[in-house]
Amino acid sequence: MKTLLALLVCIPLVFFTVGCQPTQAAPVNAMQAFLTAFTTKDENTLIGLTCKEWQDQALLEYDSFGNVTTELKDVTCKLTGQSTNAQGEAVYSVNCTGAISASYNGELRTFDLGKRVYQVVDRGGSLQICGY
Amino acid sequence: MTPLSGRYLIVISLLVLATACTPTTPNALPSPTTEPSPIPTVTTALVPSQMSPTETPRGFQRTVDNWKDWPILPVISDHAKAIYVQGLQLGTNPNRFTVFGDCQSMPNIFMARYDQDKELVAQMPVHLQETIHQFLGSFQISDPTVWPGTDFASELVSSWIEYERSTMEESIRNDPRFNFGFCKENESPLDCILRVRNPSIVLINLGTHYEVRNYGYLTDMLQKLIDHGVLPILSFKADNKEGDNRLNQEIAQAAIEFDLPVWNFYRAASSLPDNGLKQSPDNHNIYLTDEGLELHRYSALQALDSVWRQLIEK
Repeated sequence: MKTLLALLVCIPLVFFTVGCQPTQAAPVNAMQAFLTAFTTKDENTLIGLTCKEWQDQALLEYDSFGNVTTELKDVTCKLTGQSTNAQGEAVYSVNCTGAISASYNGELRTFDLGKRVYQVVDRGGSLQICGY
Repeated sequence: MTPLSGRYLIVISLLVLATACTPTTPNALPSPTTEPSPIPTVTTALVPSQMSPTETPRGFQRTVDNWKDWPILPVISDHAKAIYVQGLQLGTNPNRFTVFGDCQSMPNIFMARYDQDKELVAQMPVHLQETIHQFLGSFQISDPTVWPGTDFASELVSSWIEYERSTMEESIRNDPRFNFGFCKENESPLDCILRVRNPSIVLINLGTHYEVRNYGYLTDMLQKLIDHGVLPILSFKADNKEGDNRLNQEIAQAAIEFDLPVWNFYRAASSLPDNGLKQSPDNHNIYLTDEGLELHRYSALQALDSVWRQLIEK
Protein backbone atom coordinates (compact mmCIF):
# COMPACT_ATOMS: atom_id res chain seq x y z
CA MET A 1 0.00 0.00 0.00
CA LYS A 2 2.87 2.32 0.90
CA THR A 3 4.54 1.59 -2.43
CA LEU A 4 1.35 2.34 -4.32
CA LEU A 5 0.94 5.62 -2.42
CA ALA A 6 4.53 6.60 -3.16
CA LEU A 7 4.02 5.87 -6.85
CA LEU A 8 0.80 7.88 -6.90
CA VAL A 9 2.65 10.88 -5.46
CA CYS A 10 5.92 10.55 -7.36
CA ILE A 11 4.70 9.82 -10.86
CA PRO A 12 2.65 13.03 -11.17
CA LEU A 13 5.55 14.96 -9.63
CA VAL A 14 7.95 13.59 -12.23
CA PHE A 15 5.51 14.42 -15.03
CA PHE A 16 4.96 17.88 -13.57
CA THR A 17 8.68 18.61 -13.31
CA VAL A 18 9.44 17.37 -16.80
CA GLY A 19 6.43 19.19 -18.21
CA CYS A 20 7.50 22.50 -16.70
CA GLN A 21 11.07 22.28 -17.94
CA PRO A 22 11.46 23.60 -21.45
CA THR A 23 12.94 21.03 -23.73
CA GLN A 24 16.32 21.76 -25.26
CA ALA A 25 14.53 22.82 -28.39
CA ALA A 26 12.45 25.51 -26.70
CA PRO A 27 15.22 28.08 -26.04
CA VAL A 28 16.55 27.48 -29.53
CA ASN A 29 13.08 28.01 -30.99
CA ALA A 30 12.64 31.20 -28.96
CA MET A 31 15.96 32.46 -30.24
CA GLN A 32 15.08 31.72 -33.83
CA ALA A 33 11.68 33.38 -33.41
CA PHE A 34 13.44 36.47 -32.03
CA LEU A 35 15.82 36.65 -34.98
CA THR A 36 12.95 36.14 -37.39
CA ALA A 37 11.02 38.99 -35.76
CA PHE A 38 14.15 41.15 -35.93
CA THR A 39 14.67 40.61 -39.62
CA THR A 40 11.02 40.71 -40.69
CA LYS A 41 10.51 43.95 -38.73
CA ASP A 42 7.84 42.38 -36.53
CA GLU A 43 8.14 44.73 -33.58
CA ASN A 44 5.32 43.31 -31.45
CA THR A 45 6.67 39.78 -31.60
CA LEU A 46 10.15 41.05 -30.86
CA ILE A 47 8.93 42.87 -27.76
CA GLY A 48 6.99 39.80 -26.63
CA LEU A 49 10.16 37.71 -26.83
CA THR A 50 12.37 40.17 -24.98
CA CYS A 51 13.03 40.62 -21.27
CA LYS A 52 11.73 43.91 -19.92
CA GLU A 53 15.19 44.93 -18.74
CA TRP A 54 16.71 44.33 -22.19
CA GLN A 55 13.82 45.73 -24.19
CA ASP A 56 15.29 49.20 -24.75
CA GLN A 57 18.53 47.76 -26.04
CA ALA A 58 16.72 45.25 -28.27
CA LEU A 59 14.57 48.02 -29.76
CA LEU A 60 17.62 50.23 -30.23
CA GLU A 61 19.29 47.48 -32.27
CA TYR A 62 16.05 46.83 -34.11
CA ASP A 63 15.70 50.52 -34.97
CA SER A 64 19.33 50.85 -36.02
CA PHE A 65 18.61 48.36 -38.79
CA GLY A 66 15.31 50.02 -39.62
CA ASN A 67 16.52 51.35 -42.94
CA VAL A 68 18.22 48.16 -44.01
CA THR A 69 16.27 45.32 -45.61
CA THR A 70 17.13 42.21 -43.65
CA GLU A 71 16.55 38.47 -43.82
CA LEU A 72 18.02 35.41 -42.15
CA LYS A 73 20.50 33.39 -44.12
CA ASP A 74 21.32 29.78 -43.17
CA VAL A 75 20.69 30.42 -39.49
CA THR A 76 20.92 27.48 -37.13
CA CYS A 77 20.87 27.94 -33.38
CA LYS A 78 21.96 25.51 -30.70
CA LEU A 79 21.99 25.34 -26.93
CA THR A 80 25.52 25.77 -25.61
CA GLY A 81 24.93 26.02 -21.88
CA GLN A 82 22.48 26.20 -19.04
CA SER A 83 22.64 27.81 -15.61
CA THR A 84 20.46 29.40 -12.96
CA ASN A 85 20.51 33.10 -12.18
CA ALA A 86 20.20 34.84 -8.79
CA GLN A 87 16.42 34.85 -9.12
CA GLY A 88 16.41 31.09 -9.55
CA GLU A 89 15.45 31.32 -13.20
CA ALA A 90 16.87 28.94 -15.76
CA VAL A 91 19.24 30.73 -18.14
CA TYR A 92 20.06 29.12 -21.46
CA SER A 93 22.99 30.12 -23.63
CA VAL A 94 22.17 29.93 -27.30
CA ASN A 95 24.61 30.40 -30.14
CA CYS A 96 23.57 30.77 -33.75
CA THR A 97 25.54 30.21 -36.90
CA GLY A 98 24.62 31.85 -40.16
CA ALA A 99 24.03 35.47 -40.91
CA ILE A 100 21.62 38.28 -41.33
CA SER A 101 21.54 39.18 -44.96
CA ALA A 102 21.23 42.94 -45.21
CA SER A 103 20.66 45.09 -48.23
CA TYR A 104 20.73 48.85 -48.45
CA ASN A 105 20.28 50.73 -51.67
CA GLY A 106 20.56 47.53 -53.69
CA GLU A 107 23.80 46.28 -52.16
CA LEU A 108 23.49 42.90 -50.48
CA ARG A 109 25.81 42.05 -47.56
CA THR A 110 25.90 39.49 -44.79
CA PHE A 111 26.21 40.18 -41.11
CA ASP A 112 27.68 37.21 -39.23
CA LEU A 113 25.79 36.07 -36.14
CA GLY A 114 28.32 33.52 -34.93
CA LYS A 115 30.10 35.73 -32.41
CA ARG A 116 27.09 36.18 -30.19
CA VAL A 117 25.93 33.94 -27.39
CA TYR A 118 22.40 34.97 -26.47
CA GLN A 119 20.96 34.55 -22.99
CA VAL A 120 17.47 33.04 -23.03
CA VAL A 121 15.76 33.16 -19.63
CA ASP A 122 12.78 31.16 -18.46
CA ARG A 123 10.40 33.75 -16.97
CA GLY A 124 7.62 31.76 -15.36
CA GLY A 125 7.38 29.41 -18.30
CA SER A 126 7.88 32.09 -20.92
CA LEU A 127 11.25 32.05 -22.64
CA GLN A 128 12.65 35.51 -23.21
CA ILE A 129 15.81 36.85 -24.79
CA CYS A 130 17.69 38.92 -22.21
CA GLY A 131 20.85 39.95 -24.05
CA TYR A 132 24.00 38.53 -25.49
CA MET B 1 31.53 119.76 -55.20
CA THR B 2 34.35 119.32 -57.75
CA PRO B 3 34.54 116.17 -59.89
CA LEU B 4 37.80 115.26 -58.07
CA SER B 5 36.29 115.40 -54.58
CA GLY B 6 33.34 113.36 -55.89
CA ARG B 7 35.80 110.68 -57.04
CA TYR B 8 37.49 110.74 -53.61
CA LEU B 9 34.14 110.24 -51.96
CA ILE B 10 33.40 107.22 -54.14
CA VAL B 11 36.83 105.69 -53.44
CA ILE B 12 36.50 106.28 -49.69
CA SER B 13 32.99 104.83 -49.69
CA LEU B 14 34.23 101.74 -51.52
CA LEU B 15 37.09 101.32 -49.04
CA VAL B 16 34.72 101.59 -46.08
CA LEU B 17 32.38 99.07 -47.67
CA ALA B 18 35.19 96.64 -48.45
CA THR B 19 36.51 96.86 -44.90
CA ALA B 20 33.05 96.27 -43.45
CA CYS B 21 32.53 93.16 -45.60
CA THR B 22 35.86 91.58 -44.71
CA PRO B 23 35.48 88.97 -41.97
CA THR B 24 37.43 89.80 -38.86
CA THR B 25 40.34 87.56 -38.09
CA PRO B 26 40.33 86.31 -34.53
CA ASN B 27 43.50 86.60 -32.49
CA ALA B 28 46.05 83.84 -32.56
CA LEU B 29 44.72 82.26 -35.71
CA PRO B 30 47.16 80.51 -37.98
CA SER B 31 47.82 82.48 -41.13
CA PRO B 32 46.91 80.71 -44.33
CA THR B 33 50.01 79.71 -46.20
CA THR B 34 48.62 80.64 -49.57
CA GLU B 35 47.49 84.03 -50.75
CA PRO B 36 43.77 83.74 -51.41
CA SER B 37 42.58 83.93 -54.99
CA PRO B 38 39.15 85.15 -56.02
CA ILE B 39 36.32 82.74 -55.17
CA PRO B 40 35.55 80.49 -58.12
CA THR B 41 32.41 81.46 -60.01
CA VAL B 42 30.73 78.17 -59.24
CA THR B 43 31.16 78.69 -55.51
CA THR B 44 29.90 82.24 -55.69
CA ALA B 45 26.82 81.04 -57.49
CA LEU B 46 26.21 78.47 -54.81
CA VAL B 47 26.25 80.88 -51.94
CA PRO B 48 22.79 82.38 -51.68
CA SER B 49 22.66 85.98 -50.59
CA GLN B 50 20.75 85.03 -47.46
CA MET B 51 23.64 82.93 -46.12
CA SER B 52 24.57 85.15 -43.24
CA PRO B 53 24.18 84.60 -39.52
CA THR B 54 22.49 87.98 -39.31
CA GLU B 55 19.79 87.14 -41.79
CA THR B 56 16.93 86.89 -39.31
CA PRO B 57 15.21 89.89 -37.81
CA ARG B 58 16.40 91.11 -34.45
CA GLY B 59 14.64 89.41 -31.58
CA PHE B 60 13.90 86.33 -33.68
CA GLN B 61 12.79 83.54 -31.38
CA ARG B 62 13.31 79.97 -32.47
CA THR B 63 10.15 77.90 -32.29
CA VAL B 64 9.31 74.50 -33.72
CA ASP B 65 6.77 76.14 -36.04
CA ASN B 66 9.17 78.66 -37.57
CA TRP B 67 12.07 76.24 -38.13
CA LYS B 68 12.16 77.00 -41.86
CA ASP B 69 13.00 80.62 -41.07
CA TRP B 70 15.86 79.84 -38.71
CA PRO B 71 19.15 81.32 -39.93
CA ILE B 72 21.18 79.14 -42.24
CA LEU B 73 24.35 79.63 -40.27
CA PRO B 74 24.21 78.52 -36.64
CA VAL B 75 23.96 81.05 -33.87
CA ILE B 76 25.86 80.23 -30.69
CA SER B 77 24.19 80.81 -27.33
CA ASP B 78 26.04 81.32 -24.07
CA HIS B 79 25.00 77.80 -23.10
CA ALA B 80 26.49 76.35 -26.29
CA LYS B 81 29.71 78.20 -25.66
CA ALA B 82 29.79 76.93 -22.09
CA ILE B 83 29.58 73.33 -23.39
CA TYR B 84 32.53 73.98 -25.70
CA VAL B 85 34.61 75.68 -23.02
CA GLN B 86 33.89 72.95 -20.50
CA GLY B 87 34.90 70.40 -23.13
CA LEU B 88 38.24 72.09 -23.67
CA GLN B 89 38.80 72.03 -19.93
CA LEU B 90 38.02 68.31 -19.98
CA GLY B 91 40.57 67.86 -22.77
CA THR B 92 38.57 67.78 -25.99
CA ASN B 93 40.59 68.53 -29.10
CA PRO B 94 39.99 72.07 -30.44
CA ASN B 95 41.36 70.97 -33.83
CA ARG B 96 38.99 68.07 -34.30
CA PHE B 97 35.40 68.00 -35.42
CA THR B 98 33.46 64.88 -36.34
CA VAL B 99 30.46 64.23 -38.54
CA PHE B 100 27.50 61.97 -37.76
CA GLY B 101 25.74 61.17 -40.98
CA ASP B 102 24.51 58.81 -43.66
CA CYS B 103 25.69 58.18 -47.21
CA GLN B 104 25.58 61.85 -48.18
CA SER B 105 28.03 62.62 -45.38
CA MET B 106 30.64 60.07 -46.44
CA PRO B 107 33.92 62.01 -46.58
CA ASN B 108 34.54 61.39 -50.27
CA ILE B 109 31.31 63.13 -51.26
CA PHE B 110 31.06 65.56 -48.36
CA MET B 111 34.06 67.52 -47.16
CA ALA B 112 37.19 65.40 -47.74
CA ARG B 113 38.28 67.72 -50.53
CA TYR B 114 38.94 70.46 -48.00
CA ASP B 115 41.74 68.28 -46.65
CA GLN B 116 42.87 67.03 -50.02
CA ASP B 117 42.50 69.70 -52.68
CA LYS B 118 45.00 72.43 -51.89
CA GLU B 119 44.23 74.29 -55.10
CA LEU B 120 40.55 74.48 -54.27
CA VAL B 121 41.26 75.62 -50.72
CA ALA B 122 43.65 78.30 -51.97
CA GLN B 123 40.80 79.81 -53.99
CA MET B 124 38.47 80.07 -51.03
CA PRO B 125 37.87 83.14 -48.88
CA VAL B 126 40.62 83.60 -46.34
CA HIS B 127 38.37 83.04 -43.32
CA LEU B 128 37.31 79.63 -44.66
CA GLN B 129 40.95 78.75 -45.29
CA GLU B 130 41.63 79.55 -41.65
CA THR B 131 38.78 77.30 -40.55
CA ILE B 132 40.05 74.48 -42.76
CA HIS B 133 43.50 74.97 -41.26
CA GLN B 134 42.05 74.89 -37.75
CA PHE B 135 40.33 71.54 -38.36
CA LEU B 136 42.83 70.13 -40.87
CA GLY B 137 42.58 66.34 -41.06
CA SER B 138 39.00 66.24 -39.77
CA PHE B 139 37.39 66.50 -43.21
CA GLN B 140 38.71 63.31 -44.76
CA ILE B 141 38.63 61.02 -41.76
CA SER B 142 36.48 57.94 -42.13
CA ASP B 143 34.61 57.29 -38.91
CA PRO B 144 32.01 54.70 -37.88
CA THR B 145 29.57 57.55 -37.22
CA VAL B 146 29.11 58.06 -40.96
CA TRP B 147 27.76 55.20 -43.07
CA PRO B 148 25.02 54.57 -45.63
CA GLY B 149 21.70 53.93 -43.91
CA THR B 150 22.75 55.38 -40.57
CA ASP B 151 19.99 56.74 -38.37
CA PHE B 152 20.03 58.09 -34.82
CA ALA B 153 19.74 54.61 -33.30
CA SER B 154 22.70 53.31 -35.31
CA GLU B 155 25.07 55.71 -33.57
CA LEU B 156 24.23 54.15 -30.23
CA VAL B 157 24.73 50.41 -30.87
CA SER B 158 27.92 48.42 -31.21
CA SER B 159 26.42 46.05 -33.73
CA TRP B 160 26.25 48.88 -36.25
CA ILE B 161 30.05 48.82 -36.46
CA GLU B 162 29.88 45.08 -37.15
CA TYR B 163 27.34 45.83 -39.85
CA GLU B 164 29.57 48.53 -41.32
CA ARG B 165 32.46 46.07 -41.45
CA SER B 166 30.26 43.53 -43.18
CA THR B 167 29.47 46.04 -45.91
CA MET B 168 33.09 46.97 -46.54
CA GLU B 169 35.00 45.82 -49.57
CA GLU B 170 36.75 42.51 -49.01
CA SER B 171 40.18 44.13 -49.31
CA ILE B 172 39.69 46.37 -46.29
CA ARG B 173 37.21 44.38 -44.22
CA ASN B 174 39.93 42.56 -42.31
CA ASP B 175 42.37 45.42 -42.13
CA PRO B 176 42.13 47.07 -38.70
CA ARG B 177 43.57 50.29 -40.12
CA PHE B 178 40.49 50.79 -42.23
CA ASN B 179 37.71 48.71 -40.70
CA PHE B 180 37.29 50.82 -37.56
CA GLY B 181 39.57 48.38 -35.77
CA PHE B 182 40.32 51.22 -33.38
CA CYS B 183 36.86 50.75 -31.87
CA LYS B 184 36.58 48.36 -28.95
CA GLU B 185 34.33 45.32 -28.88
CA ASN B 186 30.83 46.35 -27.79
CA GLU B 187 31.59 50.03 -28.33
CA SER B 188 29.00 52.08 -30.19
CA PRO B 189 30.07 54.43 -33.00
CA LEU B 190 29.35 57.37 -30.69
CA ASP B 191 31.42 55.99 -27.80
CA CYS B 192 34.20 55.02 -30.17
CA ILE B 193 34.69 58.47 -31.68
CA LEU B 194 34.41 60.16 -28.29
CA ARG B 195 37.31 58.02 -27.10
CA VAL B 196 39.43 57.91 -30.25
CA ARG B 197 38.81 61.25 -31.98
CA ASN B 198 37.99 63.29 -28.89
CA PRO B 199 36.30 66.02 -30.93
CA SER B 200 35.30 69.41 -29.58
CA ILE B 201 32.50 69.80 -32.14
CA VAL B 202 30.18 67.26 -33.79
CA LEU B 203 28.12 68.06 -36.87
CA ILE B 204 24.96 65.94 -36.75
CA ASN B 205 23.84 65.50 -40.31
CA LEU B 206 21.25 62.77 -39.79
CA GLY B 207 17.50 62.55 -40.13
CA THR B 208 16.72 61.22 -43.59
CA HIS B 209 16.52 57.76 -42.04
CA TYR B 210 14.32 57.57 -38.99
CA GLU B 211 12.23 55.40 -36.71
CA VAL B 212 9.34 56.05 -34.37
CA ARG B 213 11.66 56.32 -31.37
CA ASN B 214 13.87 58.81 -33.21
CA TYR B 215 13.50 61.65 -30.75
CA GLY B 216 14.54 59.58 -27.74
CA TYR B 217 17.67 58.41 -29.53
CA LEU B 218 18.48 61.93 -30.65
CA THR B 219 18.19 63.32 -27.14
CA ASP B 220 20.21 60.41 -25.68
CA MET B 221 22.92 61.19 -28.19
CA LEU B 222 22.89 64.91 -27.46
CA GLN B 223 23.02 64.37 -23.72
CA LYS B 224 26.00 62.06 -24.05
CA LEU B 225 27.87 64.53 -26.26
CA ILE B 226 27.15 67.42 -23.91
CA ASP B 227 28.22 65.35 -20.89
CA HIS B 228 31.56 64.86 -22.64
CA GLY B 229 31.89 68.57 -23.38
CA VAL B 230 31.36 68.12 -27.10
CA LEU B 231 29.28 70.81 -28.80
CA PRO B 232 26.73 69.30 -31.20
CA ILE B 233 25.67 71.29 -34.26
CA LEU B 234 22.30 70.01 -35.45
CA SER B 235 21.13 70.39 -39.03
CA PHE B 236 17.88 70.53 -40.96
CA LYS B 237 17.88 68.14 -43.89
CA ALA B 238 16.81 69.20 -47.36
CA ASP B 239 14.34 66.38 -47.95
CA ASN B 240 10.88 65.75 -46.61
CA LYS B 241 10.80 61.98 -47.02
CA GLU B 242 8.38 61.65 -44.13
CA GLY B 243 5.87 63.96 -45.82
CA ASP B 244 5.07 66.32 -42.97
CA ASN B 245 8.53 67.66 -42.06
CA ARG B 246 8.22 66.18 -38.60
CA LEU B 247 11.88 65.13 -38.54
CA ASN B 248 13.16 68.65 -38.99
CA GLN B 249 10.57 69.71 -36.41
CA GLU B 250 11.95 67.12 -33.99
CA ILE B 251 15.44 68.45 -34.58
CA ALA B 252 14.13 71.98 -33.96
CA GLN B 253 12.50 70.75 -30.75
CA ALA B 254 15.75 69.17 -29.57
CA ALA B 255 17.74 72.28 -30.49
CA ILE B 256 15.40 74.41 -28.39
CA GLU B 257 15.31 71.92 -25.51
CA PHE B 258 19.11 71.67 -25.34
CA ASP B 259 19.78 75.25 -26.54
CA LEU B 260 22.03 74.09 -29.37
CA PRO B 261 23.09 75.62 -32.68
CA VAL B 262 21.46 74.51 -35.92
CA TRP B 263 22.72 74.63 -39.48
CA ASN B 264 19.59 75.23 -41.55
CA PHE B 265 20.58 73.37 -44.69
CA TYR B 266 16.90 73.07 -45.62
CA ARG B 267 16.78 76.83 -46.04
CA ALA B 268 20.08 76.94 -47.91
CA ALA B 269 18.86 74.24 -50.29
CA SER B 270 15.61 76.10 -50.93
CA SER B 271 17.59 78.36 -53.26
CA LEU B 272 18.05 75.39 -55.61
CA PRO B 273 15.48 73.76 -57.91
CA ASP B 274 13.55 71.03 -56.05
CA ASN B 275 15.46 71.89 -52.89
CA GLY B 276 18.59 70.48 -54.49
CA LEU B 277 17.11 66.97 -54.57
CA LYS B 278 17.09 64.43 -57.37
CA GLN B 279 13.55 63.60 -58.41
CA SER B 280 12.81 59.88 -58.26
CA PRO B 281 9.77 58.11 -59.74
CA ASP B 282 8.65 56.81 -56.32
CA ASN B 283 8.74 60.37 -54.96
CA HIS B 284 11.29 59.40 -52.29
CA ASN B 285 13.51 62.29 -53.14
CA ILE B 286 16.34 62.07 -50.65
CA TYR B 287 19.49 62.22 -52.75
CA LEU B 288 21.06 65.57 -53.49
CA THR B 289 21.85 66.63 -57.04
CA ASP B 290 25.44 67.52 -57.90
CA GLU B 291 24.56 71.15 -57.29
CA GLY B 292 22.92 70.16 -54.01
CA LEU B 293 26.01 68.25 -52.91
CA GLU B 294 28.21 71.21 -53.77
CA LEU B 295 26.06 73.51 -51.70
CA HIS B 296 25.87 70.89 -48.94
CA ARG B 297 29.62 70.77 -48.46
CA TYR B 298 30.22 74.49 -48.88
CA SER B 299 27.38 75.49 -46.59
CA ALA B 300 28.58 72.94 -44.01
CA LEU B 301 32.02 74.51 -44.08
CA GLN B 302 30.47 77.94 -43.64
CA ALA B 303 28.45 76.62 -40.71
CA LEU B 304 31.56 75.19 -39.08
CA ASP B 305 33.40 78.43 -39.72
CA SER B 306 30.57 80.46 -38.22
CA VAL B 307 30.35 78.27 -35.12
CA TRP B 308 34.07 78.24 -34.53
CA ARG B 309 34.40 82.01 -34.89
CA GLN B 310 31.53 82.66 -32.53
CA LEU B 311 33.03 80.24 -30.01
CA ILE B 312 36.41 81.90 -29.95
CA GLU B 313 35.23 85.47 -30.29
CA LYS B 314 32.33 85.64 -27.91
